[in-house]
Amino acid sequence: MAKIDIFVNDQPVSVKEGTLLLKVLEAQKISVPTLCHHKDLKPEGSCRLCSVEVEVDEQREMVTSCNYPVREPIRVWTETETVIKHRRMLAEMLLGRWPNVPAIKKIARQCGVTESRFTSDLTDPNPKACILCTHCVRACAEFAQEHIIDFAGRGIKRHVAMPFEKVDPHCIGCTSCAYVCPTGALRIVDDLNNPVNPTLIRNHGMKVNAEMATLDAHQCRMREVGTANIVSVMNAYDLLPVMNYRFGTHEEVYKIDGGILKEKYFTQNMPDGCWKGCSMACAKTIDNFELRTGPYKGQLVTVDGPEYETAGGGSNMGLFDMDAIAEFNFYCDTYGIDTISGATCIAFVMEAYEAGIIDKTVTGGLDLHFGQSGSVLELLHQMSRGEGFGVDVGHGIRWLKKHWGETLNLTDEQKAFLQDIGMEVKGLEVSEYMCKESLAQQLGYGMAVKGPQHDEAWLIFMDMVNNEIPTYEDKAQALYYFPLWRTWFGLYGLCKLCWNDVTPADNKMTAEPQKVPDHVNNYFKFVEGMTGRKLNEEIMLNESARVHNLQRLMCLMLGKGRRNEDYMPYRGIGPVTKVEYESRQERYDKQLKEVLGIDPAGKTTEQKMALIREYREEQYDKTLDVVYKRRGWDPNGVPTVERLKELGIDMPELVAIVEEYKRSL
Amino acid sequence: MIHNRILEMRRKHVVLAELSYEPTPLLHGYTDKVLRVDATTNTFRIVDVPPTMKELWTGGKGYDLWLMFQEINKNTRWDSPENVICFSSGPLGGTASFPGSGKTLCTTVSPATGSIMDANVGGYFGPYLKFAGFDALVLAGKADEEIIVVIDVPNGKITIEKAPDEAVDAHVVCEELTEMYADNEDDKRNIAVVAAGSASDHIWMGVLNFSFYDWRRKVARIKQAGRGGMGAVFRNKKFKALVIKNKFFTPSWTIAEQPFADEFKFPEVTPERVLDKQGMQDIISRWNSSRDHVVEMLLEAQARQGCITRDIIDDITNATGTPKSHLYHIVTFYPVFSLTPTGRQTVTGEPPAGIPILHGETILSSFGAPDPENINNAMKQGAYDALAKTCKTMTPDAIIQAITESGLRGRGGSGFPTGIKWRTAADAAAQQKKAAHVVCNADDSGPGASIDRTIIESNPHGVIEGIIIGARAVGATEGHIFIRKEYKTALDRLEKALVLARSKGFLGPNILGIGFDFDIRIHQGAGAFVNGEATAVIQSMSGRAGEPVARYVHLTETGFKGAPTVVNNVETWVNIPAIISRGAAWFAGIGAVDAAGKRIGTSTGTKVFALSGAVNRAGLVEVPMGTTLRTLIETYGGGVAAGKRLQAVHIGGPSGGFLPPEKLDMPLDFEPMAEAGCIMGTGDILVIDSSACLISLVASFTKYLAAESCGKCTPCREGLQQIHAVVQRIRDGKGTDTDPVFLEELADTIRHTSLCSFGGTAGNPVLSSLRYFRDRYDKHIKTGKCPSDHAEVR
Repeated sequence: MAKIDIFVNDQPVSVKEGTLLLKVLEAQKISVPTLCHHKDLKPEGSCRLCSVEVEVDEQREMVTSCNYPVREPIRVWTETETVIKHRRMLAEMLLGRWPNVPAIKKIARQCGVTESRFTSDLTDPNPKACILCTHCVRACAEFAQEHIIDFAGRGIKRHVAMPFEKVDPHCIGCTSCAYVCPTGALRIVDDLNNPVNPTLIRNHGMKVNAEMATLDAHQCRMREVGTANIVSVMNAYDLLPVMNYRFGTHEEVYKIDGGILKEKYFTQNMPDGCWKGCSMACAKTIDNFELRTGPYKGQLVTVDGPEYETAGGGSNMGLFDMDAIAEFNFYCDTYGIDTISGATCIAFVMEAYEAGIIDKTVTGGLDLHFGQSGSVLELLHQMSRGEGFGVDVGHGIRWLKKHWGETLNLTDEQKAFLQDIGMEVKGLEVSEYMCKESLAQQLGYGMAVKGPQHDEAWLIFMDMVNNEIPTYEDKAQALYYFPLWRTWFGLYGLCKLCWNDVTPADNKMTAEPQKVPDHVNNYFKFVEGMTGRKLNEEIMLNESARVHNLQRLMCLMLGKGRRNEDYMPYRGIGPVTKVEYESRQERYDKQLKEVLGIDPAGKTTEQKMALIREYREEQYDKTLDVVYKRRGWDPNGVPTVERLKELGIDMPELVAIVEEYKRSL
Repeated sequence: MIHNRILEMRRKHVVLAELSYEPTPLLHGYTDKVLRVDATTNTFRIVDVPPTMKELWTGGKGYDLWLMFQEINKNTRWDSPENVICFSSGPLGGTASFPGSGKTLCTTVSPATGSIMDANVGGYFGPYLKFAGFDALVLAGKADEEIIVVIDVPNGKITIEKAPDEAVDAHVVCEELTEMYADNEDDKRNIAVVAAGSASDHIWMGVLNFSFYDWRRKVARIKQAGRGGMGAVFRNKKFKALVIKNKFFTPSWTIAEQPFADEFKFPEVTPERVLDKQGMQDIISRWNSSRDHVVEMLLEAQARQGCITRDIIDDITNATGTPKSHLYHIVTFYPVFSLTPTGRQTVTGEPPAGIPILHGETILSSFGAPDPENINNAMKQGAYDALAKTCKTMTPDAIIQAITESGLRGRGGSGFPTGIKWRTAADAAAQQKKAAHVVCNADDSGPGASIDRTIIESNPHGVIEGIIIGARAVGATEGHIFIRKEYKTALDRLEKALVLARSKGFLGPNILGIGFDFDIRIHQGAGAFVNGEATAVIQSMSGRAGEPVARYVHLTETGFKGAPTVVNNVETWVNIPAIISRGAAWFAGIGAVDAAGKRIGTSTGTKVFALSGAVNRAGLVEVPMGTTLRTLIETYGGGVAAGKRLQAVHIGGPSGGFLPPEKLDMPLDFEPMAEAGCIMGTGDILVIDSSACLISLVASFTKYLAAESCGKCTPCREGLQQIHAVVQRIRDGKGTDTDPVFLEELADTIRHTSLCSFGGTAGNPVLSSLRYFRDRYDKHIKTGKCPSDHAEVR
């Protein structure tokens, strides 16, 4: 943005066009009294204390610096006789009305006023009076988007109120209003959980609320489009699953990205949290959506979503049609179908169909080419009715591979192909990230205890978009730390999105930006405020590791939870088909040349694919070894008794699981 | 009736098991209790959480897994009766003061993986489970028939019930159960449901849906515990749903009481309902349930009910989505509304009809058509000719060019050049690729003001035509006329004129066949002097109280609905057709000249003034810009009334200024008036004779101004109140020597620091009277009483 040269108190200053004048003055360490200004709220310009003199086109006028954007080469004076005179009068007004409020007395002192000529029967001696600073009303609107409080009355009788001067039962009790109140006029405590120190919780929670109010619009736009904001990001970084994870990008993605959702689908400016007081408000909806198929055809419904995973599922099935995705979303929800498993499994079926492994005799006559939205929706209706091919699809990829292997006359090559392209691990379908180029995410998926869901290890963004874990060691460390950190949220009933889908403005300057250290500290304070226990990283990791290991042991008890279950299908690691290789030939050739030291020239695509595969599978295996070790697991991915001891969970019933596994070897 | 259907459904329930219990209160995020429900045996168990469990497994998923570990064995499969589904929301769950703190963690043995599955999900179930007294819930066993589990906190009861008739599909069953267990609409927020869906009966990728009632949308919304087929396990156990009914929770919100709190105390007795629900719905529907018209809805409701009740506010909020707090602000902002039937002023009649027209030139000359509602008549006299001309021969640029060349300045405020305003808006609209809005502010008037109203009443088509021409010039598709409801005749005529203009194809799609789509809607205001301020008009048109907004980015860049917006007043708009028809040069040529034939002042065209007070003839006078005050009073007003001596002239309405007789030769034009200490304002000119007490007059203005201040900014809110107090005490003979200086300083600060031009001009009555009539103040202060012949004081 253009720079503008201005003069502040006759000193030249160069500022970015559009910067608010008060920000310029603050940067120049010029003190200006303020009352309605709040660093985390939009400028209001109502107290008028920050008025300064500005000369534009040789005309001098008083402007409020808090909301005055610098758009031309102005001259500013902050301490002229005029400014001081008016400031003092304003301070006198405030002091006359609220003589005992410390915040007012401070402003008066700052303006050099100790006595006020203003007295009236409205003079309020209460030291904790409401001084109409407007912070609470703005916080209710900007932090929480609730608009539960507003002003009432007019003129001198203006005051803050809930309707009819009664507490509105719709108030969610988020306490944003009390947090920003400078006088203590406003009181409310979030004590439903009966915490040790509610104020400590609030003070850290509100830091995040403030970030949502001030930064989200420039960061992830969670309030506008929810998690779907990353559709276009994933596409830009070649990470969006397209047509069963063959590709990472598609030219029609604009038809299903956040832009179109905001413009045409999602209702805006609503407090859309899925729990009260969540300022991230990412649970977006399409309101009054008319269904075009199925038993509710013609009805206007509210679609909860689509979230990123559902839109990404759309591209995975080749659906670049938001209406179709919205309808898929709605029917999955109401029928109780996992949109992720549904989309990933259907994408697998579509590829098998296009590859000629299955045909219409298998699909019950459905055309399952990529992009066939009618067939996709019909599969859902069949799942609901419990009939047809849909029921087969609803049993998932692992079941289908087995079933087809048993019922169709498949060649070994076809069976191997299905193993390669069937994006499931442990029997669970992979969520919607194309992780071929991200080793960290491949292992994040492969090693996730329950199966390949990003909630345990969503490393693709820090690996591929932010490039925060470039080295092999970084990735291995990330595969130790983040699954534990992300598991930790599940121990406390927390959502992970508020951790890193908004970050402090200076997060990038911290030593470990991928951890969002300030937010980690907020959470530790949250626990301290609730339970009185003080946390640090070690305690946190151990808390989490106990549960993580317990889950792994329980899997082991059920005959699962070993190394052979921790592998990704090759589709998730590298190119299975020629078309995939060729779509990113440059990248693969480069890897051959620079990493493997093999000249790709003169080699066929098949040869090159084989070399890449060998290399990547080896990398995967090596990393597994390192991470198992880091986690205190044996090379087969089983927690060692030593590790259980270290964590203090070496109780007999758990040790017995390990012992029994050892006996079974 | 949906409710009967629900009752019928509930009647079919058979209680299989019931447990009365006292919910354990939370301490530091924990209840230390777990609820186990067994569907095979229809039994409940409330189990204490041992300290070691808390220490080792923390809560949430840790609790789920540990509890599950106590139940399953190495042979457990997803559909084994000993498989369990565990639910828990951790110690921080259910916090509202830290965002993202309401997740429920669920675990089970999955059909898809045959292994341990976990999922986290939003919605209200997990936090409500804690408030119901349980850190975790274990669902065990398998039922024979479709069952639901209901945890009813207010009644301290947990039941397992056969529920044969409820739907299985989540969006239906969540609605049904929310409706069934809520006592009323407000109570729906206290219901949380867990359900699966019909596909979960047949497939392995079934989810659990967790509801949360969205009171704004009136929908039980759902979030999913999606992975690994938990819904399939749930349905395999024959669970149709889980329901928690939580206690009503009203935060203990308090705010320091104001000294005037009593005035706003809500009446204990609910007024008898005159306006029934249907009547209110009709009003809302008439205004298309639009947030832009909540003021109109409230005005109609006030007229019918005689006050604004909670029901009225609730109904409007439900239909329009306007926050209740904003509606409450509106009804406490305008005196026309009242909260009690006996409270404040409830009915505002139409002000008396306009005063006579003494002299007209351009605007007023076209008046007096026998029937202003007759469009054919109006067209015979040339109405819409200018529109036709612009459509046939002029580009939008050419229109703006013509208006710029005419020198037309906004008649409502400080005289901003209309052409420049339009140019800015047109450029912004083109740059932002947005349709602009044009607004006619017909609320720009104080008490007794009559000019805009008279113009509309006599020449509604002229105003409409001007707006249409302006709309095409700036690229607007929507126009708005903002007028206070109490101007009944003007409103009526406007409404009729709009219908007629539409019928002739001057409004609507494809105007005059040139592919220009444009229409105008009327917004009714509740009456506030501060609504002369354009930003306040936009607020009022957007479902907010009519308060100005502090901003340095002009409305022509971002205005109504964020789009570039042109706001002009009635008199400005009505000048447009004449400028187009007769040419910019003609308009630019209008202006008073001195004896030597030289133009006085710089403004062009004419201006209408409303002359009143101690003159022989009172009425509306249209004169060329630059005409002197003397000419106006002597030539058109017939001079000062017989037997009276001129003491002062007050120009510009409530925030105008007082001028002494020496200023009679001042030209009536923006700059000379500003220099003299008055404003064009409402165009009111009040001639004051020697019998009036000037200080009393000042006091009547300051009283009005203090009452009309919106209260948003400090100087206007606190300052005007104080100014009035000081003027009042001087008037009453209780002033002190320092008062005039204090007044002057105060008025000066209000003028220079106020947020809007209401405050910017509100000091005028005091400043101008101090400047020209200081002696009146001194005399009152010195003698403690009012001099008998005021003109003689000096």
